[in-house]
Amino acid sequence: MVQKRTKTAAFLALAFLIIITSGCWDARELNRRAIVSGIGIDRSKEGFLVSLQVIIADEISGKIGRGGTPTSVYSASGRSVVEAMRNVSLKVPRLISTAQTRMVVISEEVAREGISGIVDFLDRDSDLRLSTQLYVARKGTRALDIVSAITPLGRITAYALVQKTELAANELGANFSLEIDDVIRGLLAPGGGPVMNGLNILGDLKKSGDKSNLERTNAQGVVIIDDMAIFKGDKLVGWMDLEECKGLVWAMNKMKKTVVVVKDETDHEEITMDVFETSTATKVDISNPLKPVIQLRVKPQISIREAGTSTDLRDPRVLAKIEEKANKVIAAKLEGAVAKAQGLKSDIFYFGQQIERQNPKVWSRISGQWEAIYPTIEVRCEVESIIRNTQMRDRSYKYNIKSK
Amino acid sequence: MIRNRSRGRTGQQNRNAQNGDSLKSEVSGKNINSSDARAFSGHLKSMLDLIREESGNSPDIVIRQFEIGEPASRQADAAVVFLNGLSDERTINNVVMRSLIEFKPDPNLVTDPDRLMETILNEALASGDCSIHMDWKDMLLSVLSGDTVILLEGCEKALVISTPGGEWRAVTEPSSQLVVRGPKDSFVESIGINISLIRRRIKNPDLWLETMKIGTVSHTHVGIMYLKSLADENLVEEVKRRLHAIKIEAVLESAYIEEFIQDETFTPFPTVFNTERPDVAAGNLLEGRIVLLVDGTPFVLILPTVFAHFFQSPEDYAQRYDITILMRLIRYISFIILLLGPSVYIALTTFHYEMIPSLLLISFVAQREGVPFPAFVEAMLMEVAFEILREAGVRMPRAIGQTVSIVGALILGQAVVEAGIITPVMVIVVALTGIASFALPAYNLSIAGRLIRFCFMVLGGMFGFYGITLGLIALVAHMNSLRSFGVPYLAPLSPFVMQSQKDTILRLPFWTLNNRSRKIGNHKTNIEKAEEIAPLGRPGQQDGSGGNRQ
Repeated sequence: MVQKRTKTAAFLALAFLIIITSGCWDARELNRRAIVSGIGIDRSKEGFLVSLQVIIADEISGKIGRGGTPTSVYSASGRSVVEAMRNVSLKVPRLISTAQTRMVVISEEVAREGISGIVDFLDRDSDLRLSTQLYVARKGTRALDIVSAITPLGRITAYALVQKTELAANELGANFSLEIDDVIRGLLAPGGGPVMNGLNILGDLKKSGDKSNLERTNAQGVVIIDDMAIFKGDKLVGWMDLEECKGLVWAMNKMKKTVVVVKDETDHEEITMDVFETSTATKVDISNPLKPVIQLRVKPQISIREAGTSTDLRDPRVLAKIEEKANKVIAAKLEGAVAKAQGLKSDIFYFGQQIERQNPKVWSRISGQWEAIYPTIEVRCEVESIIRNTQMRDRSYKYNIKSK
Repeated sequence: MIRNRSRGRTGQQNRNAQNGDSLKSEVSGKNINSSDARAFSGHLKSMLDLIREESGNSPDIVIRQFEIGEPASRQADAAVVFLNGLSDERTINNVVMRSLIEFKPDPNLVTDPDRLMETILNEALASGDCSIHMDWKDMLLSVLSGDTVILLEGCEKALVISTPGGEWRAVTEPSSQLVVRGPKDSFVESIGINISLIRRRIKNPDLWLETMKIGTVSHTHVGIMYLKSLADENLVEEVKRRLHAIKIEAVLESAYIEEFIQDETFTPFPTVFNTERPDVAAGNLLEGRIVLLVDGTPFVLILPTVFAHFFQSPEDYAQRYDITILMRLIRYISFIILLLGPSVYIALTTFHYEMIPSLLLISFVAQREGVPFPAFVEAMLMEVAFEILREAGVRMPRAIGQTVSIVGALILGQAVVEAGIITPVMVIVVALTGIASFALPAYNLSIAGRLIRFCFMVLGGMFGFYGITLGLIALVAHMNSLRSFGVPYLAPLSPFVMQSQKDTILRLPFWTLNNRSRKIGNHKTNIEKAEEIAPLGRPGQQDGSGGNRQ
């Protein structure tokens, strides 16, 4: 009885000691952390120049702000990204915490040389999320400049940029959010590569990181979402233009909303339409394995937003004609994007994977030659747009003028 | 005479020492237990002397001697004994005394005291509740409970007339379990009134009442009430067995009994339900539960109980069912907040900053700038301060209570934030936790939650969500191991009883609940075999692992 009690007491004491002596695992108070919102990676003499955009929380919501900038950029060089980040700690008094990072910008210079090492770091790191967005800073703009920029709307540039990307994707449809795991998927595609959103600074590069940038209604340096970068493997090979970007987004079935402009034949005025709902189906015809035919079937639903014509938009025949024109415009965008990608020999649309999914046997036969086949494959775009509504008015007020 | 008595007492002591019977056991000091029949010596004067001697000549024991019979003929000496203050003097004067004084018995009767007593009982007394006692100890106890005793010269019995009286708190609104809609009466400190409050709600001969006295010194009345046809027989037997096994000197509150009869002592969770509302007691009786009433407290015990029981309020059945479901969900949510609120905050800020939404994190970081303590210390400080405030508020005289809450909540909270010692979020978390603890209808569960909350804070502060998760697993395992009189504590959920889900977390409309044995009836299948129920307070079982469920 007594022995048993002693044993129990000893056991409890041991259990208690285990808890007490093991300490607080990896506890770290919030005011011991430097929270990184964005990472910029540039080329430097040693290898990489990594710039970290650190949030200065006091300046954003604290009562004890000193009137400084909402973010602060710390950068250092190293032979690899991780080494450079460790070197940053010479400048930062707190633990660099990257779990809230939403943006990683890679300069075009680095991107052209290959991003596989960087992507591996982003993938491997336990703190960084796979939902972090990846960007390429266009030539002439360093990643450091992007990370240091101050934006009037949204105090943290990195978060504001991610919001901009998502908004632009939802409104204009010339780009879409590309996260680390999307990029890795692109890197894995045979004969293909990832695409990435480009970033650029419009206006004065030097003013964009200055606090005075906030003091003018017309900011002197603004970070904008630029065209999309095309990679072949892990190397950047080219850029799409705006219309091609839309085609790219469409072909990859990422289109949410975009705008289409056609000319009306009656009085040669422009009719502008919103595509508010669309889907793209990809079909592969492999009757001839060496000449596969890709069919892109797009079904956009359209709403007319702006009509400078006097056409009677109540007339189904008129609408059918407009639909016809919209089909052509949309198909042209898709074809342009595909042609550009084929020209760059990068299968960014995962056509190879489509073939593999539909017919693995054929794919195993042609996969070795895919690099050669891809630029020659035929891509047919079938667009069947439907005008669903004409918003608040059916005819323009011009129709009434004419009918009088 | 006296020699006889003392010998009898020693004999009694010896017997007690041998069989260890708790209820009849000897208590030193005031002895009212000389239950030897020879105490009824038949000699009136010595009987009265004995009463005086045993009660230490207490002035509140009134002994009135008089003679029965017409003054002209033969008279019998008699005495009336009652306790001043506990008995109703008006009844004694108007009923007992008048009956006796106006009683003119046959002169022949006067010579036969036994027959005289019966005649008084049958013909003279204008009182409903009277009986003849043969036992000295019983007789004395009834005097001490407010009954009136008539002793006759030459008679070795006592006539006991029930004359309950004395001052009791009137039936008022309950102070701890309030409702907006529903009955507004509450139990009082008198077991008699409490029983009547229940009887008034269930007018049915099926409602059985058994009483016993517990407390070797206090001799407190304890009533066991149940609906014969609904309550499980084994359960009633088990309750009685456990009640008989109680060894205690005095019972001043039902909690004394609760601690003796509960299945598991080493748990923060209450395994016996209590209420001061007669409608709750009646409702639970109708569900087949057993109600224990203890004299001297307005809180009755209800058993068996389950965890979900503590989230039910009598108002649930007075409001619409859809609203009730929402209210019950809110109670469960507030229990979770009460348990985990501060610990989740600590874990999030010290371990899992990545889980906080970015903009919220910025706000947290900004607040934490310049705060000297780690989140854990901060939380502990605030929680302890809050507990102090609450304790002060409960014990304070009501007039000062207001001041405490103003000083505590407003000034302290405000100042501590402005001084930069505590972050405003912490104040929000602590305040939310505090309010959540008040949202629970059962106070004993809410204090259990307050206790466990501190364990979770330590776990959260040391190991983050990992520790909290381990703690939750341990907590659920522990709750699963609990039994309330054989009924698993998490009963309708684990083991899962589909039928009971209608009125556990949900409360479906009444017409779906019209199954009479809707709760305990289903639990019957879950009640473990009688031998598995941990025997309580039984010597020789404490070291055995069989009865010890921890």
